[in-house]
Amino acid sequence: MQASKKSEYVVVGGGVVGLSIAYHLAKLGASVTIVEKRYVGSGSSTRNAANARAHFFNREASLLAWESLKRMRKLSRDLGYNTLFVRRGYLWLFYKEEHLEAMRRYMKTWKELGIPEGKILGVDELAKRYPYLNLRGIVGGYLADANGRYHHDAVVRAYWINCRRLGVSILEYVEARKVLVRSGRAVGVETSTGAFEAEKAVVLAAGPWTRVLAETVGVELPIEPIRKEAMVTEPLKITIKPLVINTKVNAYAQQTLRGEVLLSSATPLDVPTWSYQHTYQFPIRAAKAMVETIPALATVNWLRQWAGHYATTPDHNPVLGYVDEVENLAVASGFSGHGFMLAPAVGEFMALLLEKGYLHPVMAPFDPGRFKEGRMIREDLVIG
Amino acid sequence: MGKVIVCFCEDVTLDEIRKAIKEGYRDLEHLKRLLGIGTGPCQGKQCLITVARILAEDTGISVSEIRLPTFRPPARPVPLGVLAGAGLEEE
Repeated sequence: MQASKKSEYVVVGGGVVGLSIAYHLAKLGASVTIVEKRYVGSGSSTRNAANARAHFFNREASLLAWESLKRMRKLSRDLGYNTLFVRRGYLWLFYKEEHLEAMRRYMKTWKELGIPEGKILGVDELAKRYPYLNLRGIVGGYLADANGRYHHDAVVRAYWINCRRLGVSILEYVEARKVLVRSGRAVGVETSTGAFEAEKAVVLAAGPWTRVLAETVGVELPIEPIRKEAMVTEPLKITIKPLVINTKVNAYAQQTLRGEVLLSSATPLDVPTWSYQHTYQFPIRAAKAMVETIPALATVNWLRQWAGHYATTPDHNPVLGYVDEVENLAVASGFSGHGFMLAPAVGEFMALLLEKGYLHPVMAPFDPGRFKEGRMIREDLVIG
Repeated sequence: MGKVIVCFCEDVTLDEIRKAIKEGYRDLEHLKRLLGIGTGPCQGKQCLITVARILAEDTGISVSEIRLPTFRPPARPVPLGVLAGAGLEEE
């Protein structure tokens, strides 16, 4: 198929965010071209842990995440493709009374915002519900059972199929190199296979590479490619229902939809780097943390580890909307580890902004200008 | 001809692979994510080269141009308890 070199929108990045934006734009009748430097989903969309939550530690992020979670839950119906959402919940385990107290305060905030507030579980209740947990040192837990899990590859495929159905041109192995600007206005993208013109806007949804592309036209976005790692075991009967978070060392374990145990942990090697290289330190650290929390994991076979990026901003919140410096240039990046779960709402709200000029109030606080103007979104509680 | 199993870990057949290629999944990464090939205990050591060959035959792309997914540790399955009790210096 010969790709059209001219469309109303050029979206850079064929990850779930770019696909969701393109899908919603096409649904509003716009013509869209996506350029993806590798294969569809090849960045964080295929490397993430496939969880979605509404519970963040500030109002802005919680509201956006709740809007997205509601959409994620009914995505199978909306896209006509089973994206396998299951409501298995998030279980945070706390080792300090003050963290439990903080969660009680947040529960009030979430309730005010209309988000299901979940519940605090005492140690006895934890022992009864989750007999596989080692509760030594734990003072209580917080269960948010509105949250859940989906199959990330199925979600990507669902958007992809719908984009194609609506006539979106999706070009794999076409690398964007430079945003093209004429009289202060973004008019297209220079790529490895030539220029693609955008009549209405250029949208950068390229994860951490968004920063590099914005720099080609002098726009500074503080987005760092922080490497994060994950690992997976052989599949087992589903026993560990919620995502179990060890807040002492910031590690978690969960069972994927096919029963593999997926583990991750913060490590000192979570540094800014473009590399997807795995480290030998990570699996040791993650296994130590989660075998301590769930001792029966000791006998389970580890099969694979991999690395991906958190496209991280100074306030750990995404950058969404038009940049101030160049007209018709919009970005959706800097999700700091939460891009996949936010894609359903972000795609819809970005399309409304681009095609209808409507800035959804839930997306408004995440504007790219906030860093320069010192309007950072405060994360009130960082546990771990 | 009966069923031809290509991925022994995940029981993926030749027919399933050919059908997916026909539907437009022309990259080993996409076939892996659609069908689960290469995600079992052998992590693709048995099947990925064969799938690359099938992909080459069905699309006319040369085998040498088919991109293989990244091979990652461990080389063979290791119990988590071994890692947890490894007694290795982390840093």
